[in-house]
Amino acid sequence: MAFNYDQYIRGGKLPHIWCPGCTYGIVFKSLLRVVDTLKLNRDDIALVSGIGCASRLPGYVDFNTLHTTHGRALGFATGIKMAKPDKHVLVVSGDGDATAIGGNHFIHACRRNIDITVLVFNNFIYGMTGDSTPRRPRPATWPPRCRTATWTRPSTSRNWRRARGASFVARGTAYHAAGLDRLIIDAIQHKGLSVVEIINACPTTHGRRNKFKTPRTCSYG
Amino acid sequence: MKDTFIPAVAFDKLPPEKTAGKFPMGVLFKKEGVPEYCETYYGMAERVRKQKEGRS
Repeated sequence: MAFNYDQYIRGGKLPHIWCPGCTYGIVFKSLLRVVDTLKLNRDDIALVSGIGCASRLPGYVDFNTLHTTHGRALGFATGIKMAKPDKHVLVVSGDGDATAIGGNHFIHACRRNIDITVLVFNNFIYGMTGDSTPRRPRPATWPPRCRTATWTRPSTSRNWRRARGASFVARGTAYHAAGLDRLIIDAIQHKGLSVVEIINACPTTHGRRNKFKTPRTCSYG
Repeated sequence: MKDTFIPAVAFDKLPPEKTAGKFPMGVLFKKEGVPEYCETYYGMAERVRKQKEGRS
């Protein structure tokens, strides 16, 4: 039988704001499947976000949700976890929100190893807030003068854990949805700060401005 | 895409020239037993509370 996503969705909040071709919906569904697989009570979940396309996700799910300020999701999430340590606190954040604007909170959440799961939606761009340069490396197949690729040293999942001390770091992609479910399950079950970077495609802002021919080439080469 | 993302286990075994521009995928790092912040904090608060009770 097909999975019933409706049970976790706030129907009144739909339609969502994500553009055609955006892969955030795939990750959204993956998260709902994980919650169902782990048999988590929706009242025991706190889903926190900052600002950006990814950060609109909590509006659509029927958990305890908090839509906060740009880059500050981890700060709010830390407060929730401290006050309610028995709750499953999840953060959904874009790459800019989590590692650039929210870099300071990110560093200290990793250092503290607080039991929060952070899903970093990496679409290689500030999609909603307008085409700023992200902090992530570009795939080799992107053109060297790619308008939205960083020209400074990038921030990568590997150096997050080296520099910041996160005790669980994983990377998945929206194109490997089954594998992504497994990574999010492992992250939620991990005791301590767990970070899952999820590679996504942004064909509307990132793809169009860089003249990528297909959504897939936006992120995957 | 298939060539861009490589499972982390296989990625670690490849020489640097073959990993240029590619990304490892899967669990990149996992360490168990690291003290968790809330447990540490509430443990400390409990110790302080007991010390104060012992003094009074």
